[in-house]
Amino acid sequence: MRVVAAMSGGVDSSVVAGLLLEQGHEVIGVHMKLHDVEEGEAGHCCGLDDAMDARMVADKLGIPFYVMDLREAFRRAVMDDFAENYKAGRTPNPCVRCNGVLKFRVLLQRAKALGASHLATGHYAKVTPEGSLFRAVDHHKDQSYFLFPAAREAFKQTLFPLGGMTKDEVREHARRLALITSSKPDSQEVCFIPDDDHTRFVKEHLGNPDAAGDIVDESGNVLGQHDGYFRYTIGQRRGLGVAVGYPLYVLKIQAASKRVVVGPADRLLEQGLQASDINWFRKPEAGEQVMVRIRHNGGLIPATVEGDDPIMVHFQAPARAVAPGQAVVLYSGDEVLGGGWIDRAL
Amino acid sequence: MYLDHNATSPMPQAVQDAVFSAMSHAWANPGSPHALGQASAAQVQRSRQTIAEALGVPPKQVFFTSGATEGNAWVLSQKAMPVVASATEHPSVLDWSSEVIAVNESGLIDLQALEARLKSGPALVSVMAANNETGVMQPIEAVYDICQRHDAPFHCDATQVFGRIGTPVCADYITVSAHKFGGPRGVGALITSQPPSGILKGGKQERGHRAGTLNVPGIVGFAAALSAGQQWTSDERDKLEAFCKDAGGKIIGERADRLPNTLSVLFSHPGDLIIAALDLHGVYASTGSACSSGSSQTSHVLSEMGIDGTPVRFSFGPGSTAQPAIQALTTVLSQLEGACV
Repeated sequence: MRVVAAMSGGVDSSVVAGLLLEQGHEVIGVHMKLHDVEEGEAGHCCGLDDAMDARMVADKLGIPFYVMDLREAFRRAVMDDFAENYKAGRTPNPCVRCNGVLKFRVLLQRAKALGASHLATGHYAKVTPEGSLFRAVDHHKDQSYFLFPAAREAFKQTLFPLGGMTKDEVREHARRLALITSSKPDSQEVCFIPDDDHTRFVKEHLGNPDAAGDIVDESGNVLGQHDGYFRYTIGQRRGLGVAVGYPLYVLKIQAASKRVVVGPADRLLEQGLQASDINWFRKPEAGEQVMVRIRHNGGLIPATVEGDDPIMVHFQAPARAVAPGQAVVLYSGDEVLGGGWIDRAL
Repeated sequence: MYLDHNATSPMPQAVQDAVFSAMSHAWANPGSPHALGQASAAQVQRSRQTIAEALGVPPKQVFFTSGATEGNAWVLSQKAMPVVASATEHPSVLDWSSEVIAVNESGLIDLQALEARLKSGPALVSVMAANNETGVMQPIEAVYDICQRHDAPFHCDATQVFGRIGTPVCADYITVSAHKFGGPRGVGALITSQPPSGILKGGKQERGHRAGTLNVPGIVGFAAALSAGQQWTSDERDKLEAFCKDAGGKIIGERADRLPNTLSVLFSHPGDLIIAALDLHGVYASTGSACSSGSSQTSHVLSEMGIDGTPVRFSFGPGSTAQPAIQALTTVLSQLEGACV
């Protein structure tokens, strides 16, 4: 069958294109041009050099390759959203947004327009022909958390050829296929913020608004000042610059008053959360115990869920640092039941 | 079917033969005093005569360059006076300009604005003969008249017309490139009776105006491409244009005089997607300028014309036919409808 492989220029998507070709598929490589941000030293997705790396891999494999300009859609759906979330005192996840809006909507449509039956990406996750989503075999690399907003219908037309592999196996395939990306480092930071300074990006994107304000304790006592609440995330300890004799953590970000509320670690513990804009793959049975992930590098937390959208997630034991704006993803074993965006802690 | 001749046009066999022959027999440095060098120099001079004849100028007014980008830089980097260019010039002109004159929705320069500007003070004016992205041809004679009335030197980037159509270009400086009409890449010329101060220093080539060992095979190929007499006609372009209009496409610069080979059309679907789909059918078109398509820049040409969107540019060459493109577009456009892009 004809498959469009989304080729970022990294090792994972390079291997995807190579493996699909080996399996006998007709593969078309597509690189998404998402923004104009110059690349830093570290490799990351979407820069011009990455486009060239992807092109060289496509050339090596002998497959057609196209760069598609999706900058306008990306700016609206991801970059604006990122800045607006920080402005509202939330902590956004741009990769999840990109997957939901760009990859598994716009790019998938474009793949169909090129006559492809499927879109393939280098994500570490598994999909079934029915469009269900599962964690990758390599739990350490699993990226299912980032994929929850895509429609089941989209996943019916999606392939994740790396879902059953470890990263080492992928690199081994890259070497075997003699792909120039085989030893390229993994991307870490947000692709449109290569210097990893999200505060700078948010300020520039929003036209340098005045976001300075007070750092206060839970009773409202002013402990110090900050030069912009964008730089804080719930649970953050570093960069507060106030000392009270025990470690302080960010408990709340109050955008309207530009106040950052801090307190001791135990005040970060929450009983649950409310989330909305839920994308369900399978709704849990009433009272069914599920596992939830509330940040991409966080562990799985046993919980129960009420409601359809919004949902109330009740943790079995208190969990640390619920950050509005982050995604919550619900699992049953390896199966992704659904996910949504955190509104608030309960 | 290759429909991207405005990016570059392939060399016909006769040109390839001439280039190859020059590499075999005229490889010596034309600046060398011995027989071999003189044979190379003679080849260069014969080529210069061929090009001069085509332009109706004396051979000594032909200065070889590495292409139009160099020629444009040579003329426009002088800093003797401000460079005033039309808003839709090629970047190799625009990047030297300090002021631009707007174009109308057809892409034609605002002559009144140009005249008003020249009344206010000296300027070097640069207006292209035809636009690479849209094929829209500027009223060069009228521009030259205005420039002469105000004693303003006039540069015309004639890259897209020279060697293709017989339109006479009158200007104080004309820059051309060989590879747009079947010559090799890396060679072009500046045509002028008053060569500006050279930008490439270090040798006495081109009568001391342009240093650097002459590219003999390139120059020979340049002349051979002119002598090849390829025909650049509009018949096949017109067939594809009629089809595109029927299919709901908007023709860019439709009401202006355009190059006979160029068709820039906006569909309701993104141009880069259509081009990818056409590519899979073996039809090779582009979104606009090859200089910017690698980086997917938004076209300044279209935005200056008040047009939003990514077009598909078909640029025909000698022997190009419309039918393969019509066939592929028929399939591609229906595929796009189905995918709701």
